[in-house]
Amino acid sequence: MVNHHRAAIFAALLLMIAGAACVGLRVKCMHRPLLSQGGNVWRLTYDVEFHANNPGARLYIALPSDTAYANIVNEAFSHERLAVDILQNKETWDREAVAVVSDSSTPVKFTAQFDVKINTHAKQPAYSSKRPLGTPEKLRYLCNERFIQKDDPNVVRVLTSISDGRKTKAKLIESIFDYCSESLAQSQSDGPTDAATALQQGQCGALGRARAMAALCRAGRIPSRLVTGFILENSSQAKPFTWVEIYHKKEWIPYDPHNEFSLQVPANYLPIKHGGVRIVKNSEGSKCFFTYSIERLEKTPFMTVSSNIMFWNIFDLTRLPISMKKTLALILLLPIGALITAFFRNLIGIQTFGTFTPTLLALSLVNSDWKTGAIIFLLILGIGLLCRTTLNWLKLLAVPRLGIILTVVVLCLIVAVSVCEYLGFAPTARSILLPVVIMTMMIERFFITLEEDGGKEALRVLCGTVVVATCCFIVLHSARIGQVVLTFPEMQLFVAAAFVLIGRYSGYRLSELWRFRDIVKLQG
Amino acid sequence: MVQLSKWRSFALPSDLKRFGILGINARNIGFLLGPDMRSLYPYVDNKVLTKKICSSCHIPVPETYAIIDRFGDISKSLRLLEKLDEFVIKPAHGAGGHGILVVVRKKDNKFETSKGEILSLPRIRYHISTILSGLYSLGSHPDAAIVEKRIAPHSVFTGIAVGGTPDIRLIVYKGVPVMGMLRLPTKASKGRANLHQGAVGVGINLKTGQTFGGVRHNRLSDIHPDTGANIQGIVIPQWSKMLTIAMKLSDAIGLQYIGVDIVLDSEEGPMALEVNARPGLSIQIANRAGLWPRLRTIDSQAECITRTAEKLKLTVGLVRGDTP
Repeated sequence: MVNHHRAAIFAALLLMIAGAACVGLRVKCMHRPLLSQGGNVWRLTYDVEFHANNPGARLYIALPSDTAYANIVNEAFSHERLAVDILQNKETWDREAVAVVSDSSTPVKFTAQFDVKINTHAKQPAYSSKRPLGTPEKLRYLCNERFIQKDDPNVVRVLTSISDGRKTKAKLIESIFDYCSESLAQSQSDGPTDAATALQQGQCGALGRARAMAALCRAGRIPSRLVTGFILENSSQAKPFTWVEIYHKKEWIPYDPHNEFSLQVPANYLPIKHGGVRIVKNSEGSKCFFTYSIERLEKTPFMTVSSNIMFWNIFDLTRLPISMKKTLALILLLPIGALITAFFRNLIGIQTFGTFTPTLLALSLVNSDWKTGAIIFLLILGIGLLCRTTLNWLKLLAVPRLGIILTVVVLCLIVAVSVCEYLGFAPTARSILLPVVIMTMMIERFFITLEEDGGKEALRVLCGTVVVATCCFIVLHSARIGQVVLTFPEMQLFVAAAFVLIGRYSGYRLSELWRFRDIVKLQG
Repeated sequence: MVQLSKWRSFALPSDLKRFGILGINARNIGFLLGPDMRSLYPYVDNKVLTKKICSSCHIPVPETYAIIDRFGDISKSLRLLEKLDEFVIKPAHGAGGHGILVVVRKKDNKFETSKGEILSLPRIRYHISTILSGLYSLGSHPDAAIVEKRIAPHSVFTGIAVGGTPDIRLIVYKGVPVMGMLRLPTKASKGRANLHQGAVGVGINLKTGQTFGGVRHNRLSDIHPDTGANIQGIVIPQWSKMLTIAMKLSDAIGLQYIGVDIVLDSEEGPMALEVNARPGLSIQIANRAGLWPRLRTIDSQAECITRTAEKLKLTVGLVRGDTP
């Protein structure tokens, strides 16, 4: 017995040393390339105020995504009284938040914050610009638009003057770029902003220049589109900037005729929307006001910029796309939840329904609206128990009976989601997706405990489950811990060490001091 | 200090240590997690196997009427049950007394249970099928149902066992009984002899087989809560035979730390009912003594002792002088 004990302590120590070594090594490695590589992190903030004219008014907000140079390391949204869903365009890979107003009496606010890590070394992005374009898309990027008037006489005239009749496509693009960046004068104000007027007057601003270039390309039968985004530099009143992408040799190639960048734009050009100029769009009749700000962030260990060459970047989970990171962080939090449960069960002596029930309940509420979630949890538990009691009269076999409870739980959840949506409570359906299987098993076990051991015991275990789930929630809810487990997955070694130590704890549980309380009376 | 501890409503770890109280963690780590224990668990978790072992060692057990492990066998067994007036149906893998149905008499083709319910034959069929589908087994695995003779409690327990059959729980460590307790069903426990369901546990002097002390819901208790009868000073008949059964069963099963449950039938005497691999710890409150010192004594001596008489002597030696 003594041997096992020593071995366990030794194992725990080893795990902790290994964990500390890994963390230390990583912190060291992280800082060096950070300084030498000049990579940096920017915070882009959207502040949108929306005056809706009627319920159901919509707001479309283009969001940044990962690119060859940019990596969204963190993002946060805040939007009260708005139902928000984030969609991704299958062709351009652009992300867009669609916000719907449920109550139009007062203005609503939408704020979004993105931490964007810029790598000066390009890497293969999730969306490749080298995807072949289908005919419908090609036609779309060749057509006449309100501000890109490729059929306008002015556009045709300029194109004829610079094309010389039989130039190759590459030569033509070059001439168009030269014409737009050099021959068009910079106007005093921002305008004109459309292609025809710009080419007619021979002067324009940045937007007019980009549109003129796009129109000329389209007139020359070269697919082209506008790209709108931000040039990352410190600014409290940042303005979106538009440049051009031209589809040539099955690849989208960026051109900025305003700042005279061709074939490539600098790494601090953050593209946000392809084929459009407005970052925020609102439905007709509503009004919206928006400001953007950009700020360069000080570096912290939790916001690292590491080199792309070193193989141990495999362990740097912060480099992954944001949507993947959220899932990974959730999975990485599971062992910590289990650790909290082990602590409560083996050291405190609180009983729970199932080992992983508290953790999974807490995790399902971590990334959502926990208040609504908690109310729905209690409602489903109540309704489920009522059904289970009724089912008892039918005397069904175990598996079909569980199936019915599962059905009831699923139906309750669906109705709850729908009702929340109707009342405009919960922002989105996924915010209250409780683990249905866990709920089902919990109802069944609660009922059996109720039948076999009485209501007091059943309530006691239920309270234990809720208490442990609450503690799991409080710990897992803190934004910090999600980031720590992602930045340092090695932390799990410490968790494992803690498991080993709890696993060898042979002292009294806190609850036993209560259980054996009458022993004290005997020694008098 | 004495004054303080009287007011205190909880014990300090030092109090428990002084009394030699064995906690759950210490029990699990020190006594349940032996090297070759897992493979032996089926013999205690599965009551069919336990019964087989008992029969092969000539340990008396309640007579088995039928073992049903297939849904197809239920109808056949029901025909058998129709002829019986009293019997017990229980799951082979049950725990905590769950899923046990005791039929005490038959009235116009209906069965009356110990809880006073009147059940028809289809209800009995349903109960058996829930057992087979694994409702009462650990991990909800498919299970078998055992139909066996109902124990007629010995007259010595009249007035102190309400709604069920009392049994005697003996903790056996390395083949030596180290602590014993009489478990009395109550109304709260619905006739079951499980302490956490509200049954009363009464400490037993291992030397004399006489009861003393008592525990209910982890509190000290000297009387039966339903009848008010004194539960102390009862001399359990055929005590030494019970100790022998426990020792034989422990040797046959091979686990170093077990709880053996023995019932006393009014006609056939002591019979082994089941074995528990994780016996509860409230027995220490019932006996007003901790398990630690006794287990340590055995650890220091039992290795070389194999003969039953020597083990008995060791058991008797564990009893403190001041035990009533």
